[in-house]
Amino acid sequence: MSLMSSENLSNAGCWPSQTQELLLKAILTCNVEESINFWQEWQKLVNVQQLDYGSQRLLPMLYNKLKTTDITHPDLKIYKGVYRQAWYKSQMMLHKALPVLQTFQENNIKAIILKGLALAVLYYKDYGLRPMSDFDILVPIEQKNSAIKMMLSLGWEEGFSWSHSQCFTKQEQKCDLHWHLMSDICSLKPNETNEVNKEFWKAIVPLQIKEISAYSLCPTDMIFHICVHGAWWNPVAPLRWIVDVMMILREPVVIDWSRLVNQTYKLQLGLIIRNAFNYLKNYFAAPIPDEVLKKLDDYKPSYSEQLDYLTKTSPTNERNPLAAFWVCYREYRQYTIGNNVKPNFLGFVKFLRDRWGIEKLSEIPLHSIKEIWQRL
Amino acid sequence: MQEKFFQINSPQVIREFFDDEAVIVNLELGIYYSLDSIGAIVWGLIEQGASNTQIVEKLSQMFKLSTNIEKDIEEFIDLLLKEELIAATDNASLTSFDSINIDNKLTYSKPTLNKYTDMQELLLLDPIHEVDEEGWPNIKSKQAAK
Repeated sequence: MSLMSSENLSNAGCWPSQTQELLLKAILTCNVEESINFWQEWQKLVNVQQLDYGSQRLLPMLYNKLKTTDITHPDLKIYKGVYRQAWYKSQMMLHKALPVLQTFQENNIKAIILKGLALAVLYYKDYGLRPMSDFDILVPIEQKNSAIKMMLSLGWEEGFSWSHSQCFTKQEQKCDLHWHLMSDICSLKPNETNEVNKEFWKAIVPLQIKEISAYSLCPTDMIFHICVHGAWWNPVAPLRWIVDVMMILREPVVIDWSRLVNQTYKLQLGLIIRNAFNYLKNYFAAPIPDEVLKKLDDYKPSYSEQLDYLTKTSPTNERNPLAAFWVCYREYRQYTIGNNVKPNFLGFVKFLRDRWGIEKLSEIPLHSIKEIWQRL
Repeated sequence: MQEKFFQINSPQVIREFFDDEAVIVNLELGIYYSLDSIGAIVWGLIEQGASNTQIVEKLSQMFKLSTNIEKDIEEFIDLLLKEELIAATDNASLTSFDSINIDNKLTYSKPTLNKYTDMQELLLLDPIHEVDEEGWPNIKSKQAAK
């Protein structure tokens, strides 16, 4: 049975369940009548009061679809409420984000807006349709330290640091400041890392948010980025990435598929991209050229990529303890490369402490035993 | 009624239309306001630069009203002023109205403004389980919640 078969995907933590697929189809199907049929089928199977959070996040899109039809149903008011709240939260988030972007602009720090905020502006064109809980900015690596200083001067507090980004919070609003687009870049050799970074930066497109001029990844790179981050196991069913990619593909944009395949090979992310693209094509008729899928079919993943992929697409409590440990160590190695620090045992232990949200280093052995015991 | 003009207190005040309602947010304070259909029309006219007398005239035409609605509009505008969502201005910028599409079934009623002040509550409120049948931001009553 393939990794991707619908029956195998009922562990709605990596791929949508059959019920979630009905919701996705209701949202993504262009034909109004078919869309309504999918919604009605989905309605029979779910109780909106017990809806999983991943599906809940799609309710604004569902409302947007149904409001133009003759459908009247009490649940539409609930969907509309979710939409209103998403809009409100986005506006409050934007109110915190704009001073950051303005400061960067005034100090000549080029900023690429990533993920939800860029998608909301460019492709959803409505802040309420794409709920987001934080905003992400990518700056050039040589401006990383200046950008961090500016964030601190604006009252943001530092949180956890990854290989490629640093979390900040301010009055419960979160921001992730990136200096690499993704952690996988930090697994490459230094000259390869620089080359990959340059490729992303060369292709950026302008993005205007109110009075602020910033940038976004080009549509090709955005699709790549979304799939790499989307199609993993997550306690919240990762459904959004599917809608995100389809929203881009439905715009009159040019996708450089060769570039995307080259990046996939370079960053050794063939398994996730292949499975994501096959899923989108098979279930949602995504306009991905057959020759692209063929090139991805020819991709030969390394042993470490296979291990990484199998681990990250399993629920966390079902992961083989050694494989889970391997993933942690790999993330630590990426962290040291991304932050230009020397790897050592104490550094790894501190990394585990921060990653697991533990207060004291002395609690790590017990926590490790607990993690292993849960998986056995 | 003395003619007065107004302007929206942007950028701290923003507006969005959700079908026939208008939602206004004071970004600095996080206060959320919901205007009913008639309130949304009044707000839309203010955005276009209409004065209070022009608003009264326009609404009377739209709904073919024979009764005087000056008091309703004056009270509603006073409320918007009190909440600092709009401010009086000397500038008369209106040249012509953009057409406003209204539902044929909509009838005139005194415009209303609902205010929701607790930003934390608004952000944290579960939009499915903690709301009434009208949806967020309307909180389910404690009795209904039981």
